Amino acid sequence: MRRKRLGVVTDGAFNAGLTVRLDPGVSTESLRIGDFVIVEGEEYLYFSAITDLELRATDARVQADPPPDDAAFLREVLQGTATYATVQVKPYLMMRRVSPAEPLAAAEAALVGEEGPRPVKTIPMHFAVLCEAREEDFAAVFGAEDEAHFAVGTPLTQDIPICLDLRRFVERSNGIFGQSGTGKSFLARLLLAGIIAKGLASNLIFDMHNEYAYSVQREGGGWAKGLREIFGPSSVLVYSLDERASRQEGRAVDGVLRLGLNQIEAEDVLLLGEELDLTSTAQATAGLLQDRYGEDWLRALLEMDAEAIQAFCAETNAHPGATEALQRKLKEVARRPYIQPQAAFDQVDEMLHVLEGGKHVILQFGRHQRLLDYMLVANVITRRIMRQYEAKWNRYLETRREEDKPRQLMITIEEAHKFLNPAAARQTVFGTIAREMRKFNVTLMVIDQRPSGIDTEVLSQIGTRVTGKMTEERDIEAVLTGVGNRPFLRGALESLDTRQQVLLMGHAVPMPIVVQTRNYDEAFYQAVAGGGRRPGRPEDLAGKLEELFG
Amino acid sequence: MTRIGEIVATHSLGFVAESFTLHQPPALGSLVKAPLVAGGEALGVVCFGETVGLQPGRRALRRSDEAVYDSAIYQEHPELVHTIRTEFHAVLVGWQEGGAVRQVLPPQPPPLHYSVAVCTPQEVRAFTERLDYFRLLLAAETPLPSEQLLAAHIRRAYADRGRDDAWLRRAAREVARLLKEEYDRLVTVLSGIAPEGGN
Amino acid sequence: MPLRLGSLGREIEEMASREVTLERRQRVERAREALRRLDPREVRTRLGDPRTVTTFVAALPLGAFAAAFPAPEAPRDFSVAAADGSSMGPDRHFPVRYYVLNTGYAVITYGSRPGAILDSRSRLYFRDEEVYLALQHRTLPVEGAILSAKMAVEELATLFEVASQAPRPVVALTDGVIILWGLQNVPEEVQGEFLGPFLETLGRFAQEGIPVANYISLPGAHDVVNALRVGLCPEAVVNCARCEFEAGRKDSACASLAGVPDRELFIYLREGERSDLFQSRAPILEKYKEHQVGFFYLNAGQEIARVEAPLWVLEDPRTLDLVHAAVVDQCRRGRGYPPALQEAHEQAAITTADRRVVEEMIEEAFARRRVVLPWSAKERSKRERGI
Repeated sequence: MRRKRLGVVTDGAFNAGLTVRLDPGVSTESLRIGDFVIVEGEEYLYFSAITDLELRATDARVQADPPPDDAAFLREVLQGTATYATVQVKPYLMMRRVSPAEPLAAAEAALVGEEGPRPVKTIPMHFAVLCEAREEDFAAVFGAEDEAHFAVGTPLTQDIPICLDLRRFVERSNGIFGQSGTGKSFLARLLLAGIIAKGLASNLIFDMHNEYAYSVQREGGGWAKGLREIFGPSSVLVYSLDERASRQEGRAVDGVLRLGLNQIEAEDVLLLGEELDLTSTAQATAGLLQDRYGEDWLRALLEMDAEAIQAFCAETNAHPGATEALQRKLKEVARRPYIQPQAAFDQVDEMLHVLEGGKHVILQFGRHQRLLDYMLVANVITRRIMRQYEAKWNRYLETRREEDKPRQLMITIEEAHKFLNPAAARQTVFGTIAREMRKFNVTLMVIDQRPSGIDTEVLSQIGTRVTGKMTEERDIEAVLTGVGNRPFLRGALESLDTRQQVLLMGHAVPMPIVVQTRNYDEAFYQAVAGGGRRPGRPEDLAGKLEELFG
Repeated sequence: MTRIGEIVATHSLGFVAESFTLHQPPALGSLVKAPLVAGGEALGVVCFGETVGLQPGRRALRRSDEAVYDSAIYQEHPELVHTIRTEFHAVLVGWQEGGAVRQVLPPQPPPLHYSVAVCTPQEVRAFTERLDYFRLLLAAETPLPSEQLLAAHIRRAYADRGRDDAWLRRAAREVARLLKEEYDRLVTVLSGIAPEGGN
Repeated sequence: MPLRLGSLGREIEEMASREVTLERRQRVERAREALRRLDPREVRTRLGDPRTVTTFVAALPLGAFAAAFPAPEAPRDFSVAAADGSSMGPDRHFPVRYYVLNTGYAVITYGSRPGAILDSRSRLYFRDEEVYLALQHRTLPVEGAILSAKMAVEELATLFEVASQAPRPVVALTDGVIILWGLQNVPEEVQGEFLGPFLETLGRFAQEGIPVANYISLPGAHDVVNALRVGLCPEAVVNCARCEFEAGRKDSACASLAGVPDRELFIYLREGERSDLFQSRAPILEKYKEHQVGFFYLNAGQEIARVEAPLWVLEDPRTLDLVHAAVVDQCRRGRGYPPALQEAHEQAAITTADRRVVEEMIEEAFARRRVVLPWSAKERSKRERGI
């Protein structure tokens, strides 16, 4: 089936992109910023994105004196002749054109490694034709649904599935961004479901608002299923900090988590510095205490009286006021219901064991939804898991046995800018994961509405960005850190709807693309619960699409 | 072939013919043909028509009154029809020979005193399939502004083609292309060819 | 442009003021007065008296001096035929002697089956017997008055031919070709050459019953005024050779009318009306035998015109009325001048371009026979007009 023709290339440069004059009869209204389109060159196909739309006139007088309302014929004729539209198009990938009639040429191409789309290195000549992408083109670039590829939605104006390479997605840390109200948690659920269904990684989800495990109410009525409901209790385990939650009807948890004072380290205090409103001196004092007292430093601090504080300060050159403040604040922490003086790590280790077994863990926070709780618990648990993981990895390096290789682990955190702001990023385990743990098969999925708060070095390590609508300039800047062709992507971001439209860019997609995300509904549940493995057979696809998107 | 006139002046760009029917030259913009000595026929578009005295220097006098006017004038003055003649001008836009049509100026103009005929609807349809000759029409130096001539021609061809809307749009776009930097002339043409009711 | 318009202008002014002097107006008034008062019978008697000698030509009133006859209605269907002629050459500067006569004619039919024929006949005369008139004792070149006479004969002959083929009733009109004034001063032999065929053609008109008339626009004749002068003469016998009043006495009644054209007399005629009939006593008419010529004046709408016709046309009420009605109808249609005559004139005209073409044709014909015609130096100079 031939591609639908949109126009011809009349101008362009490699860096700036191509200018395409739209054919008369093709309206700008049928195109969107960020649309995936194909330029058919002589030798190559160029997979490109629409980056701008412009209106032009061959004679300025038409603009000064446009045809009146009742001159329908005049307007119709002028469209595409005296007035016309151009589209700016940025090629991202190119692929050698081989027709099925030339099997030899195809084989040759394969030989020199030129088969399949590759990053673009040249531009087509004048009058190359711009076309709408067909299903095969999307499949060629983004892949078809299979063990690694997962359909996340469709282009804004066509009914063709766009797949994310989930294997590459989990290989690196990635981010789900968008201002509040853009449905980031739905997106997260979508992606997590895909990862779970295809078994590409084990997921540890720090569920601050109790959204991921069980049904939540949708805006506008109805319920959205949780991951445990979709995949079942044998696949998805739920832990909670809140024991009351464990007793809720129909929302069973597999364990209630307790944290011991002995599990809290000075590093955590650093992380919580802002939340606890501690001065940097106070934060530093925690370090001094830990040096002095080791694992029990917190308990020791809490037990100190004024005198003991003085003594300690004298010894260590710590600041008494700071120390007092620290003690005061940490007393609050100690009072949290889920904190006990002492706890063993076996619950956490159990979680880890579960994760290693290919299952998934959701940690709910119940009513403990203060940022303080979230950050503290997440940090402590993750630190523990990290250390275990590192040890495992080193063992694997020694034995080189496949079964010793730790599973890919992805940790999902919300309010990421709290964990990954420039101050915290250097000190906390999340910062470390973001920067280094990719090597050890541990990555983060950060969900955030304020990416400008995230440390830039960390940002640059974010492999795939799934971004909903953003309007804050600095947040847009942050999201586009380390990405080329910013003016277009910026425009694309600003043009997104607040719901169900995202821009995908980064490691898991060969080129940036705007996507209308698929619905998170009954059809979706069925699709993923069925294993999600769908080898893309063209005949099947139509039927499957019917099924998926109704 | 119904002869409608005889060539009384001819040159490379067009010809002048005297119409056999007084007062009725062929319609403005219609396609006419005249034989070429070397073979085939030259094709032209009627670009002007006039009725003038046979002898130079004779002017038309007002002859009507309350009782006698219009065609009655010619009854009243039977000598009048012998003192005037109707002429039309045509601008050459192509030539045809043995079924092949070419939209360029013929190598030689049609000969003096040869007959002119109106092209049949089939011939019009065949010729107007391609629109390259619009360029020749627009460039022609005629008493009529060439954009008005083009509009008249397109209207006639549209009618001869049985009100072919698809062709009309194709023609309109071609005109828009040719006059892309002359908006005022373009609007003159397009307003002149817009189908009734504006659409 | 060497014509000095400045000096001409002064003379034109003088001419104009002379025409409208008081004296002139008074003359015209007197003449009109005389027309009203004089008894035509008196004048007829005097003109019939063999002792009457005048130095001028006076017309014979056949009826009243100052009558008016309204135009009869023209028949529903009728035709008007007219002919006119023009000539080209002989040119003294042209190496070969020849001349061309072009007779134009128009036949217009009105009524239920209207139609018109406009055409011309051209002939080139070159034979010796055609370009020279051989008389008993001498040979005269055909030119000037002789050529005009020949043309007149051709015109009348053509007019008869086309008129006789037109749907009846038909009126034939000429432009100045009934009284051949030009033959008056030509030798009698010459007169005969042309009068013969001319009168023969007139005879045919009479035989066929086709009225023929000469229409004169802005007539300059004053033979009716001269008739009034005869009437005013105080002498018992009119004898200009012995006129006492000629020398010295400028205010003689007769002299006081001299120079007034007839058309000034008949302005009392309303549109379409004609005067009563008069007979012309032009000297040449002595040779016209039975084809004596009369005339009347007519208000043609825009002017007073004079219509001359053989008496056999004027004395038959049928043909008189037909001519009167046809002429009035023609003048109405032609806004003051008969269209048939206008068209005949157009058909007859030879343009400068036509002349050149004929000359070139002749040169070429000779050149094909390897004869190069020598032009006179003067002619060559006129043509080249070199600077």
